[in-house]
Amino acid sequence: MSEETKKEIAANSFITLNVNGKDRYIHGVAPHMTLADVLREKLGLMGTKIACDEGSCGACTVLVNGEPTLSCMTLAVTMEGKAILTVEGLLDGNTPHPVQEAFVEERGIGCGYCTSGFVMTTKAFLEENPTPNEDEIKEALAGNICRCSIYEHIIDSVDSAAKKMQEGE
Amino acid sequence: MMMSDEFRVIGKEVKDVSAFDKATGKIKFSNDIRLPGMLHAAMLRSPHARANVISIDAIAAQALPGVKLVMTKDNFPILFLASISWVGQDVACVVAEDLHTAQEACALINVEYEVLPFVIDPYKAMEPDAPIAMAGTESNLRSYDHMFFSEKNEDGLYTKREKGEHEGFGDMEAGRKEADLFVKAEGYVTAKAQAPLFETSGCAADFSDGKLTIYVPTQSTVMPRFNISQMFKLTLSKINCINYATGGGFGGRLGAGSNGPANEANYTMLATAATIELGLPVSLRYPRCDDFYYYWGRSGMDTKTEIGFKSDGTLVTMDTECWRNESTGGQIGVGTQSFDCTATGNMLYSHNCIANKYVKKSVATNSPVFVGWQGFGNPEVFFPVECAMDDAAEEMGMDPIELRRKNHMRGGDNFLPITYDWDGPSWLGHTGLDKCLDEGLKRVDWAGRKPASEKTGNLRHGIGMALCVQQNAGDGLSSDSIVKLQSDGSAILLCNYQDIGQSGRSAQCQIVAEALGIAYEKVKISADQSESTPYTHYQSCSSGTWIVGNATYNATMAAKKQLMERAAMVMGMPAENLETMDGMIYPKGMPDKGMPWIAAFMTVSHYGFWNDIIGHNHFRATGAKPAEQGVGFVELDVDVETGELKNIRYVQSQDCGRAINPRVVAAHYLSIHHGLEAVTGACEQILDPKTGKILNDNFYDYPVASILDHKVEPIVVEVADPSHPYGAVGIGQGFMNGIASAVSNAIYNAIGVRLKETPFTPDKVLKALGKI
Repeated sequence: MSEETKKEIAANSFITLNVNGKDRYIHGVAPHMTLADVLREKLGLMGTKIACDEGSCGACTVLVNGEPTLSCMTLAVTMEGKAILTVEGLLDGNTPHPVQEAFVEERGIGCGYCTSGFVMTTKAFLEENPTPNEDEIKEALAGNICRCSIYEHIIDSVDSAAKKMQEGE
Repeated sequence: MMMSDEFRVIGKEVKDVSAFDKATGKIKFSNDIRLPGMLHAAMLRSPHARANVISIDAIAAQALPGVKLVMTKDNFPILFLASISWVGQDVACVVAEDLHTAQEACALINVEYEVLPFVIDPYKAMEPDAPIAMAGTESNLRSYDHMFFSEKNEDGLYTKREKGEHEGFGDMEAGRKEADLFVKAEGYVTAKAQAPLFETSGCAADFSDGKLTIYVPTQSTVMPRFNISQMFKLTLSKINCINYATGGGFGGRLGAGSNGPANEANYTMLATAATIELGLPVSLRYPRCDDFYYYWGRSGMDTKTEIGFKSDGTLVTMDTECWRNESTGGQIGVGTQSFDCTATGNMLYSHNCIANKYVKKSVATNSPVFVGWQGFGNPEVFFPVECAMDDAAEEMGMDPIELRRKNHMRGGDNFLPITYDWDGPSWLGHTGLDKCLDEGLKRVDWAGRKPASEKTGNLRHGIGMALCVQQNAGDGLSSDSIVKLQSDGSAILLCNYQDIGQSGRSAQCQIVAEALGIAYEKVKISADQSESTPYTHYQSCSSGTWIVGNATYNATMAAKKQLMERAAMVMGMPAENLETMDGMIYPKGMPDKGMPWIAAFMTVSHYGFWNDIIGHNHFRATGAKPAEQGVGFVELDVDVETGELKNIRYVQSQDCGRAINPRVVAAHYLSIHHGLEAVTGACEQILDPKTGKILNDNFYDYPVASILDHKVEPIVVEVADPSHPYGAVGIGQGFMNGIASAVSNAIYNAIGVRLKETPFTPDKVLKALGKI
């Protein structure tokens, strides 16, 4: 890499990110690196996908302090001190989160490339609106693209997840 | 009640074998593969639509610390062409320690181009003085083989197929004499639209000690393996393709980036060349905009048909022609022209058709490369045909549905594919179209339709329909499966089935489980690696359930036969008197006198509990042909003030033969959403006329279907097909074929004007209404 980039990295060589409940100490983070890049390349958390890298598809959605955030449009160095949750963080040992379970059972998953983005958006949405109607679900998920376009089954998955979360699963 | 209630596993909505891993982020797509010492690559692309590359100065790029290799036509002439034919064509590939360095290095490469005149308008490209789009050609016009059928046997099936001046059969002059009226449909244009792939292109390639491993999104491991062996002179046995999941296929992932620089995206060859050169793993991943240089999958322009009818509606002749803008090729894309006779007398309307003629023509332009997509050439031809059928019905005072019922193909009718091998007479296995129509009619108020002239107000409601059919597989295609029974009553299926989101791997497990009488959860499919699985037919042609399913079923039965024969030895009675359920083998009707599988396994060897009992099958398609068959009904409102199409509801009633998993079948029909984006939405390729550059190479400017746009209602119809052990046929493509015509028919019902050019954007609607 160029000398300029090397200097930039040296100046910000070390950041601490709180990811899935753990503080992670990360070296060599250049200022231009996105949160998506750092999660994937530095921490090996490949569940977060990059499908457009310009904020137009929702595949890279993670939760930052509980808010759905496009990690491809977020600079990693601005994320210190915030709680970051990725799709991997929803799995508790062998027990999936109710949202993950609902997507599996209702087959809201086709090729799977959009799934983590939808799952994270859904989790945050249902925590804010535990009993949504169909129009509210669609508005909440309008920023997530599914190219297999199984939208009706995704809506069923969100519906099912809402019920599971209400029942305290 | 679904027919499948008679089965234990078939017809059940089981969990997909990979769903948990996809929902938890565990599954690795090719773009996620990272190996020790891995290098990363970036591309330099041509900014010109037509040019010659005169020289490339890569010295500064090579000198950038961290850069390991710069590949250009100078050092890798098999990977880069000196002649440029579209904006975005590969010019150089830089491999470096990290992606950012590779991208920085690309910006340091100086390329001298001789810029040449280009042509992107397909009509201009046809003119004699048009710039030549591709070097080495003297004309932009392309011609392809046509296959003509002749010599009927006593069953009315054609027995001879040979090259001819056009596709089809029969004596058109004689046929036309039988017709009382002719209906023409001309000027139908299907705009270029992008196949819906979410995982961006790329390949992780790892060469070491003479062995190559590639991780690539694909519908076929055989294509990249074979192409690599040819190009790099590697031994086939030492090329392993690993794929855990592919983020979308739909026909776009057939070549798997291995068809060479002139044809399509070439990422697999680039990554392979780099890893062979450097002896380190290399990952090349395209950004989204690069994927917009490829994967355009529709391009029918000036498609027309003329259909001849008797006065009672009997269809007697069809004469169809389709011009395509084939860009500068794209091997898979050009191949779509070999499928597009489905809407004609060759297949859909073969029942009464006396003479069928179909001519395919295409023109090369300097627009980005063309690849296959669901329907694979058929949507462009269904468009004028299914609109002409509606126009004909109106002219004859017939219900459009009754006209379809009268003329659509029936079981036993000629079903004449123009691609694949020809093994002799080819007929349709069965038809479910009438049942599809019956079921669809329960969901829409067809009888209550009023003509456009009786409609008032700003929002005009319309209902339209179209038939859709897609051939599945064909003669000469084959697949192998291997089943290994385990001593504890479970089974492993070896089958290189690519997961492109279609739950095909799971369906194969259901077939094994059903045939063995064991639970679905007892079957494991090993599908990820090409070298440890037998040749499996690639996941296209809507043939996974059908070709692979036949091979899997037969392999299971071969293993089961051995199991039962061994059990017969132990139990001292003929194998045909025994049956098996849930890992127990017992005399028929006497389940309490059974023994577990392991007792039969102990006859295999001294340590029989460790052994497998193995069944293999090689299945080859021939004879009776399955087909996807369905009906699309569209309801929508046309806003006559704004030209917008609103409240779009698409009911797809489609016969799948037998639903291995009804939920999965319904999910396939939901693909209609991304078909609609290019018909009722605004999705089409837009090129800058000054430079040939794509102007909408992103999801903002190419507004793909979102969850807000339309409602799709799948109806899963089952009419068992005799060519499959469980009656199943394909489900992956057919519905695409009817979309443009069904919507155009609905708009006609709403406002009385015929829209013929997709996408049906508000400006086109307003122009058709004479308002602008």
